[in-house]
Amino acid sequence: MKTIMVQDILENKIAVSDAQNMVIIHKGEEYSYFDEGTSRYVFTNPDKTKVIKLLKTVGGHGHDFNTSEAQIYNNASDVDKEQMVRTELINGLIEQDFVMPIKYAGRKLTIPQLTFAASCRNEVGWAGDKLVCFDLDEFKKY
Amino acid sequence: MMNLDQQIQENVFDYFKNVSDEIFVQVVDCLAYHQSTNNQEVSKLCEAFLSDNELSIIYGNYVLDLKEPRDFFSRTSLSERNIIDQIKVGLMSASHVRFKNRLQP
Repeated sequence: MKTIMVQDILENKIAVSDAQNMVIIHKGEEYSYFDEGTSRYVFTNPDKTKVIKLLKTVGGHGHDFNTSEAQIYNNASDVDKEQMVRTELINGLIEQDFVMPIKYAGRKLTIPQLTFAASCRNEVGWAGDKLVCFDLDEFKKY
Repeated sequence: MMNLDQQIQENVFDYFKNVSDEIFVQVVDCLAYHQSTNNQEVSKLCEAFLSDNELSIIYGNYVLDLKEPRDFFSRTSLSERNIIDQIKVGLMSASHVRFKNRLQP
């Protein structure tokens, strides 16, 4: 599999859609394709401790969901941050701690956990035995 | 994997699995059909179910939204209403299963 630097994507030298089939080097670590939403691709490192999120459309006039997500995290109260995955904006990409999304985990949820998940449009994942929201644009929005 | 709506129903099934049919049907009357009860056991069980599942405030707001609907303001969010609706479906599904079990020899 071809290896590229994350800067190549951020500087539009390589289309992010093509990077799905490549290994991306970020901070000296390899990241490969994990999942995608409507606006971003998600890549994870081999030991699944971190993810990076890359916008599907770099530049242009589209909404920058990465900047919004970082703002939501930075402006959140400490109590809300407890229910959010740690999020950092680095040169236009989002770096987050990895959590296993409930859609992949196959674990049974309690009613309070289901209530929290529904309030985040089910964009939540397991950090150990705790559920946290990983798509902060959806955090308790519903 | 079960979808999330099914998981809500399964949680409801599990919570009331050791409750007698006589008490359970009254719980359904209270929680799904909003009927009052004079039976302390039923009342305590309903309260415990809501409290154990962190739904006391949500359920209270849900009932208020039903009784006093407002055009531009709801006390509950969409997801909260969906959870309560699914719990009501779970209660009725459990009722059906019990009824069916009684009919079968």
